[in-house]
Amino acid sequence: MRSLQLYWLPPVTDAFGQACRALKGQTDQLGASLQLLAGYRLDENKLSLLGRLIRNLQDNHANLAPLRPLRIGVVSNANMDLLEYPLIATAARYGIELTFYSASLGQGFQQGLDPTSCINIARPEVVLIAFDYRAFFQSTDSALPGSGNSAEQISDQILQLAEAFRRHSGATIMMATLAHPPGATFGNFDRRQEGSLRHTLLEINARLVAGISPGDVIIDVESLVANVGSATWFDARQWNHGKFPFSLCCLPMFSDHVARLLASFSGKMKKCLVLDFDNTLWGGVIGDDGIEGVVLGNGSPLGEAFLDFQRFILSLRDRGIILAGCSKNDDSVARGMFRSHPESLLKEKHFAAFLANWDDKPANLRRIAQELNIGLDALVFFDDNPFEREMVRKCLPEVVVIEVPSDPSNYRNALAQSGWFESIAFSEDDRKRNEQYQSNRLRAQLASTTDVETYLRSLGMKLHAEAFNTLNRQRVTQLINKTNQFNVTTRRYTEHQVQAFEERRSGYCEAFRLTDNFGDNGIIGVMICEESERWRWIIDTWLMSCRVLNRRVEQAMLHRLINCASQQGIRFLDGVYIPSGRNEMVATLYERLGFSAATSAQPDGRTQWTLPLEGFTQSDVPMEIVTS
Amino acid sequence: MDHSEIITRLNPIFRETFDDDSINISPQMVAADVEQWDSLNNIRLMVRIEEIFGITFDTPELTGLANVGELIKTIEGKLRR
Repeated sequence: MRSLQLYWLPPVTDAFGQACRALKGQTDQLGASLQLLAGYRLDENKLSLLGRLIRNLQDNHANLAPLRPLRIGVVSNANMDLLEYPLIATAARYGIELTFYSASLGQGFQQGLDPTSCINIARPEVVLIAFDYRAFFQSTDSALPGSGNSAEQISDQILQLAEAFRRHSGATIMMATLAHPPGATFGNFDRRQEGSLRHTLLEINARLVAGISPGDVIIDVESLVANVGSATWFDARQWNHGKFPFSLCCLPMFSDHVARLLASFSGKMKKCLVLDFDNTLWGGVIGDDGIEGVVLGNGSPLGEAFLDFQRFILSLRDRGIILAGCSKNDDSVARGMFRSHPESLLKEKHFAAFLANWDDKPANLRRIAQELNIGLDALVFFDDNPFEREMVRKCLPEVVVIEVPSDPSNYRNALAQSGWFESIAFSEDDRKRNEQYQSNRLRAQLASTTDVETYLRSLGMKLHAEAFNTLNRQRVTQLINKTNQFNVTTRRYTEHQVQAFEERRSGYCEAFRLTDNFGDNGIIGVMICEESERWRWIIDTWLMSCRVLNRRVEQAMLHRLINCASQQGIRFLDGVYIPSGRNEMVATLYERLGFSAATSAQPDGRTQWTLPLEGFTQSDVPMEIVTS
Repeated sequence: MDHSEIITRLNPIFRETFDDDSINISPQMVAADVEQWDSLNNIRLMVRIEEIFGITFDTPELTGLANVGELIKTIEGKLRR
């Protein structure tokens, strides 16, 4: 059944079981191999197989890097035991090494309210609260108003449970909306009749969405079930046998939706969509068929399919996904299409990187990552040609390659239903992202015409230091969780934790925004310091977006920090560099900025640095520092 | 589909569901003979059989069959209908 399949993932081969078994003896690159296997279109059985294998490896303390460890608590009034292995396997698809804690059936409320319950003690980063309507509406309830549990009572109960977990475990809550069963008591009238099951469930869901805190996450099971079909989702036999809330055949889809949210929560979401052109954005080959010959636009069914796909791509761009073009074409021919075809919604200006040439696609994907200063693992590749897809999968396993359906009418859904761009928040910076990457290109053009220092001064840069606040909290959290390269400690914090920094009285935390003549780069840097002892601050977090690299912004950030520190009488600043495998670029940051080594390197590669503030002279930076 | 054909198609389902390649099913086999055959994995097994054979078990059949022989007979009956 198509609605149940993760059809945007490549089909699994017969060798899957063998590949799993082979991993049992492997020690090298284990995490990467697991992620690769999890990337296939796996059914419940294969997911369970892989999940059990990962669980065994965890029990044997195998090194699963680069998978990011994450703990989840799962609470339900239904039986979620069968979710464990499929969810662990699916999380690996998104680069996460998941540990799963669940409450026994019916123990959800005790688990939440008791600070020493097994879920609270495990200190999960996320608690999934997924209830089933059947446990709330017992047989004595009738469908008439005023009888049984009201929507308000039920939603309050669930929200209080969320609050209890938040308080006792510090977790971010992932709240599931409730699924509606097929059929109704009155029939269509249920929608209007207060107290009917459908009316009540709709109201509960509205209250849950409105009632959770802004830093929490919604998993919209109601909408997922609408996709899958409620007659498929609900299997009364399975509920009657073991209180399984939904049919086992829906486990792969449900797990994928939980895991994509976890990925977004951990900053693992993709940033850039790389598009092929011919037969992907229009029908036909522009080099052969010419602008008049390609199929695109209203008037032909296939032309409308491509138009619909382009429209969806633009909506992704509007919410901050970077677009890149990667096509085997002459540059001028490809550009001509975007410039001159009257029906093409996509224009040259929408692409932050545009590579039309005859080189192989893996080479071009590498260039795109480099040009945009993002990792290969931030790319999603969409190409109708199976040969190109296979080549990219083989050469660049980090790049996500969508399995493109054969019919262009299904392109949009394949991209829209895949979870690679799942987002748990939307900030003003997201809205502007593409313009920022484009103005980066303009800046780069200017840079090539003059020497660096003169160029930097000509930019008219202003670095705005601002305290953490409700307006920038989301973006600060996003940066903390997804910045890999310019990040000295790679410590990840949830929105709740960021808020806690904000409210703290000692230490220091600020976000940095950079503007220049070309526009506003948004919040691009974060610094957090702790007072480690009297007159001494240690830099807990120092990160910067790679968009503003090589502009001496880090130096200006340090100046700002030193000013704040001096005002509070601080005499020493300490820094630590913790290698993560991704942050090589800041290994010598402290040294470059005048810190001296405090100890020799530790076995794990971390280095410690210190800077006495007395007598420190600030060098000139090519920007103005503005404080609010 | 006759008896032996059903066994041939069932065996890999058992092996995959219970993650055990040493399983060789026989009509006398019961849940206690397979280490991983608990109530949770039983439901996985039955749902998988439904998918592969394109049949649907009734509620009592999901847990009420005495041994693999009865399972085979039930599948046979449903395929004939």
